[in-house]
Amino acid sequence: MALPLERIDGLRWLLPRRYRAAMLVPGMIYGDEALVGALEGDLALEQIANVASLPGIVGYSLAMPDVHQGYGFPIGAVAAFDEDEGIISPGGVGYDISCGVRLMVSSVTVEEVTGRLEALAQSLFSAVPSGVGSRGALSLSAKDLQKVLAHGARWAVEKGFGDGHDLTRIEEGGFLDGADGSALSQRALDRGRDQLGTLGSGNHFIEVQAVEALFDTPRAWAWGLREGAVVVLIHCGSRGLGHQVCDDALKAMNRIKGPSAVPVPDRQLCCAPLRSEEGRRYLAAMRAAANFALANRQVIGWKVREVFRSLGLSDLRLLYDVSHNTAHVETHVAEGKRRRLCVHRKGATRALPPGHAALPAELRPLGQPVLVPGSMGTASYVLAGTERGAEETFASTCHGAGRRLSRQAAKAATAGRTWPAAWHDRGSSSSPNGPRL
Amino acid sequence: MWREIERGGDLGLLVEAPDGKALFEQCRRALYELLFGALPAKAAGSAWSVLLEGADDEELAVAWFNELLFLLETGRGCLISSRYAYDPSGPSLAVEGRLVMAPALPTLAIKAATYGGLRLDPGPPVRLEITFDL
Repeated sequence: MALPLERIDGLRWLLPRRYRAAMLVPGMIYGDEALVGALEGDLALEQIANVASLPGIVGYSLAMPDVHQGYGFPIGAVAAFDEDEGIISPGGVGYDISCGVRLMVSSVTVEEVTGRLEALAQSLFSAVPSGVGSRGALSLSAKDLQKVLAHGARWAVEKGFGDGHDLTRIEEGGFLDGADGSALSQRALDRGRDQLGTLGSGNHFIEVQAVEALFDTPRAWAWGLREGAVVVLIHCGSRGLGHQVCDDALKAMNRIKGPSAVPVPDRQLCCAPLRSEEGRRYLAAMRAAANFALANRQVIGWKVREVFRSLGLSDLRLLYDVSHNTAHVETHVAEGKRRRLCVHRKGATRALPPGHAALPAELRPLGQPVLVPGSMGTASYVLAGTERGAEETFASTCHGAGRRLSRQAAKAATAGRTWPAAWHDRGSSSSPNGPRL
Repeated sequence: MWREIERGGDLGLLVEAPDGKALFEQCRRALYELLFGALPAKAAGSAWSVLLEGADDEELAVAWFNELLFLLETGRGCLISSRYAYDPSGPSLAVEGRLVMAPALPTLAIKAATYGGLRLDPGPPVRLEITFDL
């Protein structure tokens, strides 16, 4: 089956409005022939078209190179909606609100950790609880949990989990303004109370990596990246609390009747006008969950630092922390004018260009560090935001490894093999929670 | 009866039961067997109850799975036995049962039941297709 796409150039593919009558804007997919070809048989194209049909969408329904089918919106989706006439959708943010990555750089060399990887892995595994329902790192009172929801990583730093410099290296200074912890259900609060400082499960990880190659040495050096140095990449989000916020919002928005109701072809795509009570409530709750995620990564980052210190390794410095499941109200030039837009990034990373006012002064000249993790055992990349990206994609790019196999196909392909054996062959050390897919 | 079905990178389950009320019990069994293996004999456990409401039976099924996952995630335990009162007019589902500690950590990390690809065929037999976020 030929895909209904028009090739614009080597890396851009248009899904024209005529593909479906309800589409208000075209879709635009970024990727080479191989990546886009892999979309055949995937629901992502239909989901891109669904997103293009939502009220108030501006520009294109965008798909990053790692796009694949998700719930409602595809993973790798970017969609901007007019602040006055547009919608907000929990399916455009995802279950794991503010899931994201943080990269910590060091002057530790690969030679210094060679032979100590197993001890390092075990220490990290002990310091940071992981696995489904993992808890016990910190137990928050109801009052402290509300402070976390309001202040994000700032709360963590005030409690001694890090320093003020860290906050300058986290998007939005470590917390999202406009969060409202009272918009969360008791169940969401219950799920979050014991989960701060825990990694969780699924594809979340702490990975100790080595810088293998520099492609832009001046920028890399300015960011503290040196060839042969050890860095730590952390990937996690808002844990059960964020999942519950999403679940609660899906229920609430699917029940909207009257003028605020937006008909959608898929329940996971449910949404509400940004200006409606339901829309505002979700935005406030989503920001609170994002703050929980930012605090979570801050606490985990601090614990990783402690592990390095305990092993006599020099300190880790935060390069950047950025979420890839969010909706931010931002100002962009769209259709020739500056507009306030609610930019949904689901499995997509914000990538601010050089000079952007939201970047801290020390990062502003070079643009935002954009963190793109690879699959286990493959390379991760640190990119930089660009002007062109800001113009074309509302300052967004891909978020990391996509999906090449279904879960069942992966099970069949890996039958009889175990991850640790494969890893040890590569000289790596790991502590996965279990080999089961 | 239940079995895994293809759902891309996520987990899909097909759950089948003679009627709507039996479906909810089959969902409980499916989740337990998937995460821990064979259901144990009845144990004492602590009393537990819940009332779930949904816009329709599909939403109720999602809510029921998420309730079971919530019990596990927060350390409250596994539902070892249960009785159901299903009211199709709401619809709503009242469940009473007994909770015991989970026999082990679940090796499969399920985060949430979703509406993605959700399908309920009223049958008979009733067939539910549901996708879980991992």
